[in-house]
Amino acid sequence: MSADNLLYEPPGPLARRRNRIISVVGVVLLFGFAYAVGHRLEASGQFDAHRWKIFLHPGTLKFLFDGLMATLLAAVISTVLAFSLAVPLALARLSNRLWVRTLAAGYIGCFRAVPLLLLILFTVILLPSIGLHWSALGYLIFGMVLHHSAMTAEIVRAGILSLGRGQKEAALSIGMRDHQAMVWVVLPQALKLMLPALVSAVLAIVQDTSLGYIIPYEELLRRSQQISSFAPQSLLQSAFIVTVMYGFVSALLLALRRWIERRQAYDSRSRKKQAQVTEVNLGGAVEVTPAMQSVLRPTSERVPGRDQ
Amino acid sequence: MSYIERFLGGIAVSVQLTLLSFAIAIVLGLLLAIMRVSPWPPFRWFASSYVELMRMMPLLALLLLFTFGLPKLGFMYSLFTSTVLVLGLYSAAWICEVVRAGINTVPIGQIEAARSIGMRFDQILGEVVLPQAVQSVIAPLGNLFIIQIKASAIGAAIGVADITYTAQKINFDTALAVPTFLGAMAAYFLLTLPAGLFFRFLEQKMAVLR
Repeated sequence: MSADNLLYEPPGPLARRRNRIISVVGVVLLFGFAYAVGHRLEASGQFDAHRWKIFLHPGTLKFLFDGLMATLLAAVISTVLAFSLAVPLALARLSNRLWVRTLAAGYIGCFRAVPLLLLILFTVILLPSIGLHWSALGYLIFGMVLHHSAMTAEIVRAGILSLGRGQKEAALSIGMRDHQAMVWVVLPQALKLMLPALVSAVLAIVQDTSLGYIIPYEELLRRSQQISSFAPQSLLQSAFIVTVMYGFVSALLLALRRWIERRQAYDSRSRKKQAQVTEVNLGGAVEVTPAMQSVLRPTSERVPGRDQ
Repeated sequence: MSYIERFLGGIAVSVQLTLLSFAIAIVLGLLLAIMRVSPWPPFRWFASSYVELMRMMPLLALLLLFTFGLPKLGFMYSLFTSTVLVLGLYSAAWICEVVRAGINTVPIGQIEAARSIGMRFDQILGEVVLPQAVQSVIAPLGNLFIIQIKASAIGAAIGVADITYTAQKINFDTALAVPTFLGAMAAYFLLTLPAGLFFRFLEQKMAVLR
């Protein structure tokens, strides 16, 4: 951490003492809060052995583990389908033909503007009424793919636009056709640039599978609710364990994203400033899912030291 | 006709959910962002672990924890309140990230200049950095607001009578799934389009020529 980029001068002896006092007060406040929470939990007996006993049973663990697997299964299938739809959608959105462009924009606009919950609720109602009787997994995936293909298409579009015209023009000038330039020159580079954003999209998909809860699809969140209706005394405990399980998966994905970002920062260090998928070239027109909000921060502009 | 009135009721609830939770999120998110750039390590740690924690949890899991878990500890409040709280706490993390990104867009020379004339941390932040960060924060904040409108649908999962919940109930009464679904979609468009326009207007108002 270099001292030049901070929002404050390197502290002198007086300021150091003041900072120390404030830090100690901060720690005391945090501990006080933690103690208050812990005391509350203790007072209502949440640490008692009988509330945790159910989780020592291998059947319970298997039940939860199957839930996690169901969550991951839904997430993987949704990711594959949504991503493979998103690329053609983004290309259609950037097409030269007006009607193709309009259709794609309509699809993306519609399914991005509607809450996923509403989409899933009505998938469950509408699909059987036109004769498609699927399993809960099928309905969940259908709704998720509609929503997330639109979301991901916008990421892909932003990635393609962020590459700059020069690459495509160079490809055209050596005699490539439009689609050749796209497939062989633009897309590979653009996909590499938006890799961190795509990992965040996967994270959003994993977390959104928890909406399977309302169908109901037997995923992790649903299973935790079932455990707590079977053993009401263990409600908070099962919520805690499920949170840890979600957190584990999310932490893996976040670590993957950080690794990719580090690799890319390393790759682009020798080159000049590289075009990134940034807030700036996304503009106001593109809506960004919360999960990728931080990805879109231009890494090149990140200032060490101000970025703890 | 009464169906339209019911939809209007749903819209009112969705608007309240969004506005209240977004207000909480802005205040908390700003505080977290300030903590993250502050010279005091415990505050920095707290803010960054808060953001990480929120990013790792599905919104619905948090909502269910608040709705069914906290009453066990003796905290009781309405479903509406708990939805507002959860939405606010959740998006505070994103607002923190957006504000921090905004702080990073302020040219480093501004900060060096402020430091060189002897300004303290709170002065630099309050009088130099944050006022200049506002401009670059508005567009992503607008995105977050629109996301918040859609995220407020999560309330329907625990029975808060917002647009999604109303649509579901109307569908139960009438069994006209397609018109109901289109109506709910239109209701969300009715909210997101003006919000988008408003934030674009705000962005133009705030634009600083450099």
